[in-house]
Amino acid sequence: MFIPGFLINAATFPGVIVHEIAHQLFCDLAKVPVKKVVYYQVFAPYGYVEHDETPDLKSSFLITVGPFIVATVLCAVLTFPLTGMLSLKDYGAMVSSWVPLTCFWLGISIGMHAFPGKEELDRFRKQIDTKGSFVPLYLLSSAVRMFFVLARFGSFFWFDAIYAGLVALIAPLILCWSFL
Amino acid sequence: MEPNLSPNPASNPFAEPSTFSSYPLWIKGFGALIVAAVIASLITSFPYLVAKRQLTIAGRAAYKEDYKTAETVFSEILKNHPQSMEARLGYAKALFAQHTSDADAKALKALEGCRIDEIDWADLEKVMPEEYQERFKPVKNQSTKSMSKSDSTSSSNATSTSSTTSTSPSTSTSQESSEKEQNQ
Repeated sequence: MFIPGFLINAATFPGVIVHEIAHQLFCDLAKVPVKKVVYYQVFAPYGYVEHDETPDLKSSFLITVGPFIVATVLCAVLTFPLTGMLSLKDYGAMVSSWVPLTCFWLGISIGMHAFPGKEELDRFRKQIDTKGSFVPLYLLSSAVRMFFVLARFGSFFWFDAIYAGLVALIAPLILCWSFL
Repeated sequence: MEPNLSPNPASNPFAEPSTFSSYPLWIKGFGALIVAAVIASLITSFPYLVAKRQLTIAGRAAYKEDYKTAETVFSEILKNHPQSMEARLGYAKALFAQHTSDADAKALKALEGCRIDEIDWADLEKVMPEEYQERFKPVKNQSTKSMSKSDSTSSSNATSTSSTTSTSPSTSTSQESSEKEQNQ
């Protein structure tokens, strides 16, 4: 089913904003000066962060992977109340309270925008291609970048939404197992 | 929506410039909202995490045929989550497995107003005495079964002293249809 990108982004705008905030925050943590930030706009590019070149692969890894991890964790935490109700088949509580539904929408929106954009991936590739990187970090970065590239390709087939759904379903199970 | 990222002239010219960029006020507010949502989510999730843990304990007790323990734990879950289908079904199964008329009456009361899907019904059928199975009617156009209020009341009157009944809103369709059938 084809739905225009701007409509999807409008429906999931908190995810775009959270991604850009996390991007900016990780630039700050990596001590990479930020030039310009657009947190959200209606048409593509929906949000972006312009920053100076990253000095090394470590910084680039942090800036690219950090927002992905933040978004995944937020997606898992925010979708938990509704998935918890589903696991108990507590359908009455699901309908009667707006908090789990709102949190679920926020969580899925954030999860859908977990993956880095094209420019971020291009910058990341440049750093990976630079010689002299620490070998384990180089291997990890290459594998992560490959996953992100595949995820970007898969977004044509709603992979970003599927990913958010999977995080929402699997994370509570992991949490329950660790809790039990 | 673009923040002013121009460098702030430092009061001390020898101080190292800060690498932290500025965040507009509305972004700080948005961040606070997200943090509030995370806190609300954690607070809301906690009872479900506890209930899920109790469900596992009750399920393990039922598996070991310790139906009294299972019944107690399921009833504890139902105190906090009275509409939980998972807990109601588990509670009913633990009670039916005890094979006493009192327990059967309690189980039927717990199932009152439930819509049971095919998978759960297949599980319940194994422990539920046949005479009670007839009281559950298939819901039209759905692969679910439900028991009407009158059926459970008659069963509880017949088997135990308990007489009060309550019905959840989800049974209205099946109740109406069963009442019509009874009238006919």
